[in-house]
Amino acid sequence: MWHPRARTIPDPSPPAPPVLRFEFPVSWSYLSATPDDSRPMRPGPVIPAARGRGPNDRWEMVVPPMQRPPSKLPAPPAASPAPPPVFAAPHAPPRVTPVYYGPGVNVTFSFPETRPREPFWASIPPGVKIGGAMGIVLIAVAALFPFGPSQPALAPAPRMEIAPALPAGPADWIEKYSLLPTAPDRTRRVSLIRGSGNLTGFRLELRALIQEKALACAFRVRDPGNFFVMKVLVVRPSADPLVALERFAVIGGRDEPHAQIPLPMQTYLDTPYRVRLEAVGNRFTAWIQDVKVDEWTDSRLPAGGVGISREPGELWRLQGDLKVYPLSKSL
Amino acid sequence: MTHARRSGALQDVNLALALYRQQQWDAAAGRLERLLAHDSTRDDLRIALGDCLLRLHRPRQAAECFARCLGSASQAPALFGQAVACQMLRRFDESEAAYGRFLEWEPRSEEALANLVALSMERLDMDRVQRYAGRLLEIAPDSCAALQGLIVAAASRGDFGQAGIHLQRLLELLPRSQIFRNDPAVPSDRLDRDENGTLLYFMNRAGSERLARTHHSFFEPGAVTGIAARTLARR
Repeated sequence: MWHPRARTIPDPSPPAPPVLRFEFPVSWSYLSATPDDSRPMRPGPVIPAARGRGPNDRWEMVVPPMQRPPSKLPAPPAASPAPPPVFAAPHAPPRVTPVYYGPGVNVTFSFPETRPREPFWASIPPGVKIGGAMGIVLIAVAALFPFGPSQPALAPAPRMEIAPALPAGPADWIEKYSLLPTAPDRTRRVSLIRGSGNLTGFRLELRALIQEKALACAFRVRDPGNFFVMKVLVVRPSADPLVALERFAVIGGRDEPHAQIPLPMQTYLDTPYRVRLEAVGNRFTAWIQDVKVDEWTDSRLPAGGVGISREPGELWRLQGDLKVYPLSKSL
Repeated sequence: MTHARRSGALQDVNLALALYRQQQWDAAAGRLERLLAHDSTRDDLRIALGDCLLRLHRPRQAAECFARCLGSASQAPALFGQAVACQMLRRFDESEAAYGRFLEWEPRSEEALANLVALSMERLDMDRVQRYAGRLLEIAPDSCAALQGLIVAAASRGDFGQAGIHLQRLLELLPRSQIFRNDPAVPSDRLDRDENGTLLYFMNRAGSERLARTHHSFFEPGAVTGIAARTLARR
């Protein structure tokens, strides 16, 4: 009996391969993506100057609590946005590094030199010069031929023991440890690393991208109303932004005067910041991008916790982990 | 400028950038344009505006926007944006020149090189496809754009052995369904665009068969499945 299926002969030839189909999309995620360090950081030309100052802008001179040697002073920013204030200078106008911080914010000026000085030797009487030269010769001889048992010239710097980093996972934070109003509608929130309770020495390391205005950490947090804050602050957001290190103490729930130091390196709005802060006793040292930016002393809060501080309008994103290493002097 | 006006301006910037981050391109573009009318020195806002305009399929205005960036700090994104805008406008010479300058800043930009591969494909300039795709493959060995470009370039010069090697690598990276199309309505080499504006390139059946003969292994699973399906259908 005939059946049509019986007549079906399988096709011996292989099936035609499907057509290859390739996609070539055009993309521009570079324009909105968060760049990393691979983006070249080249100094740009001077950005057109900012607008003039308004009549309500407040300028204030803040004397830093600690004198830093001239060699440690950060270089002035390449493009200073503000016109230098006028000073009554008898010889030459002082070299001023003005930084504009907007109304109601304190401003720090650094004065490397206010007037030209005559050479040091010219001001010394001849007799003193001769005596000084003899003294130097005597000191040199004494150094070459010591008479007594040798004494170490300098006390060795204290060696610091560094402990493993404190755990800083999501469960290791005390959220909103401090909630302090900084303005009628603004509250500063401080969150603490749980294990950092009463540290006298520590090294804080973090790498972060500032998305809006500033990144801030709090340290030596003794209680919700007494702590120090250090910020990396975008003072002027632009293609060639002005960024400064800002630090201040909060004592009794009130902000002490803010000290601000412009960062000496070129940065951009999308620059991730490597921040390192070391505290040993009353001495604090801050590095940004591995460059020492500031060093100061403050004995008011000898111990306390370490954490982060956030204020409205500030937004930053941590890249990697925030690490706090306890430091202690080795015996 | 009074304190109130300055803080108002800052709020406007924050709002515009928030809209931009939320991908509300139209609203963000409007706000950014208004802000830039008051402060034309804000290259960061201009880059964001250019990005919005590209997303809104307004490449001509985007190109003008990127061209007005002032500082050299924003030169790289401005160049990149200009290159993309010109590519969308099919001003390929300008686009390629802008990409070239951008690559001087960022020689390892995969995105720029992938866009250059697409641009050269659209021109059907296989020498350039080969050059840019080769450079991209050195930087990113898993780049699909590079492998696709190299397959097309090799097949177009008759080097099906080399094309097969790249195809094998591509098959490890992409699902098969994204590479092969069984639609018989695609008869020959063709450039097309999908609804997202992505450039599509269909290799003709002759080329696909040559690749199949050179490297049976790529087509084997599909071929076996095809034979089995056909046999079953005829029973």
